[in-house]
Amino acid sequence: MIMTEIKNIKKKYGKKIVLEDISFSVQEGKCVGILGGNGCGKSTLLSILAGVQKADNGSFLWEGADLFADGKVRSEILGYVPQGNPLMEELTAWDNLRLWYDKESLKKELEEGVLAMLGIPGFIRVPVKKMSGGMKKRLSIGCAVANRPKLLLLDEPSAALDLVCKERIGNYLRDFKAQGGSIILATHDVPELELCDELFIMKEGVLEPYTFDGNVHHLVGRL
Amino acid sequence: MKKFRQYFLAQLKRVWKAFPFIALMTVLLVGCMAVISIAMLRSYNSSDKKQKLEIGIAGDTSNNYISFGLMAVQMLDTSRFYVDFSQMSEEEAKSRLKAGEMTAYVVIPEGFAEAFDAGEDAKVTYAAANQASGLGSALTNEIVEIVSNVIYSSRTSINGIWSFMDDYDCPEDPNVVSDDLFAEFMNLFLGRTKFWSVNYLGADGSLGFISYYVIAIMILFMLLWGITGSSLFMKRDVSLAKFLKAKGQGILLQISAEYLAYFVLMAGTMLMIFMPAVVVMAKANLILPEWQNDPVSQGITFVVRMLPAMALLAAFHFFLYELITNMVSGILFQFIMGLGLAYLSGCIYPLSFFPESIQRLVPFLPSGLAMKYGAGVMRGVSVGTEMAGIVLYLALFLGLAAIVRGRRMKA
Repeated sequence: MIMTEIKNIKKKYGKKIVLEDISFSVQEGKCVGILGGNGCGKSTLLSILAGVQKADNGSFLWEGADLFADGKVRSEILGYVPQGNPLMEELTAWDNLRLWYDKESLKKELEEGVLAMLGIPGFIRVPVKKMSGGMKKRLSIGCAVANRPKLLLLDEPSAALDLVCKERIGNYLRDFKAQGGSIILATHDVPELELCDELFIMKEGVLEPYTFDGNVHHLVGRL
Repeated sequence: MKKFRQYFLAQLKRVWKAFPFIALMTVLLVGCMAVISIAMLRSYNSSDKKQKLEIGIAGDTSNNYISFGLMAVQMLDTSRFYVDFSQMSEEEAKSRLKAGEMTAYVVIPEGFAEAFDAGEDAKVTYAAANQASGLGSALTNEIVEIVSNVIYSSRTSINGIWSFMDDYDCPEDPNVVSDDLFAEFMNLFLGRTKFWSVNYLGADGSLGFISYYVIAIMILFMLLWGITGSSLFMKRDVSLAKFLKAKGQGILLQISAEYLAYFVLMAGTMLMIFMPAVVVMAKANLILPEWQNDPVSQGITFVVRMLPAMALLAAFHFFLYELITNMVSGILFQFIMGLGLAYLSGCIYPLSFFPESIQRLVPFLPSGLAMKYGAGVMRGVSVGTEMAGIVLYLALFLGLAAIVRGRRMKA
């Protein structure tokens, strides 16, 4: 059973403590959800885990390998979808995907792989600037999983998407979990909570375990 | 390397997609600069004419002395550069004065010369436009003074010669003698026109004015062209930069690939504009002294050798766009910075017009360095120091862009 361990991650911006001793683990085939208000540090945590920023302290272990120290292994096993859409607006879906897939594997994935599952063939030649939010998000996920990651870091993947898109992405993530992939998900979205096997609330840089009882008001009260 | 190549090719694709808009903006910019240049040239030419006073000469100018006198006044150093004398009838002179086409006119009454010779009170009438003060009025007064002095001096000289001849019983006709002497004197006047030659040192002390302004216009255009890049750089999501970093494509790699693609765009556009411009210049017979041997070939070589200056200014634009991500602010900032630097670097007024302190500072500005490099290439001298400066500036601008992007990614 592969386990991803995050231990004692700390981050400060000047005197402001953004992350204070963040520790948790993610099992193979499981999803950990991190809830929190705007500016609580969820995105900062994910960007640290993705290697975009450096932590002041702490470790990020996968199968015993320190992913903070080994950027090559990190980029091989991680897939990261930040907030917003990491796409080149002038180019088509095909051109964006070609940055991450070689031609043969791209064709294969479009026919019967993860890209087909995300419904990308339907808009493969559409320029990104003409796509809807849902299309862009699905394409972003398609780009992120090009390296067949073992661990997905998702920062609010369903933000501003309609129910159909959310369902589509949800189906893909369920499938990803079923195939043994692990997910760390930062979210505001109640439907996304159903994906999560374990929940945490981030408040003032501190992570606390949380069990969602289905009552949104209780959840809001905790935030 | 593969990652860099893939990302660079993707950036080239972006540049290609954005090219129609950029080409349109470039055409508009060329049009604007052409209109402004033509308007400035016309204004310069007409103001050049307006700076010269035109004075009409009407009446009896048949007398030799008067004719010679008029010629002398026209050739005088003090008047020849700002006064034109035109002979015409009094009616024509009046109507042109009323129409504002002339500053003044002089009427020499009939028999003036004979009356003057006879010692009678002979007066020349001077008619001017109603100017209480002003340069035209002051100059015309001065000219009248000069003419009076010349006539008086020459009359005095003639009387002196005649008196001398009387004293020494010279048998020659005094009128013939004084005519000959006067003609000799006029030859000296006319001969004086050739005793100097003008050597234009030009705006920077080494290049001719036209050569200097060819470089200046190039640099000015390249600086202002930065605003056309707005479609490539605006509305960029920092999430792409984060995503690329997570995938192992660090900030420097991102910056390098994006900058190179932008430089390819800029260099391609500049070559497409300046090379035909060189051919047009040659066809219009506007040949620079430095391109005398083969204007087209030497001109094109010059344009190609300006690529390092293009690289420098491309890096400058790139850095500014990294600094400001809002579209309107970005375009305004590019425009103001471009125009400001162009002005300070002598692209609009020659550098020699600025105080010494500014002139010393300018070679350290990116635009000033580009001008200096261009001047060196034009003159065919070594530009090693300038190239080193360009490389340093490239490193500085791209390094700063990387720092700014890193900070934006953390936000």
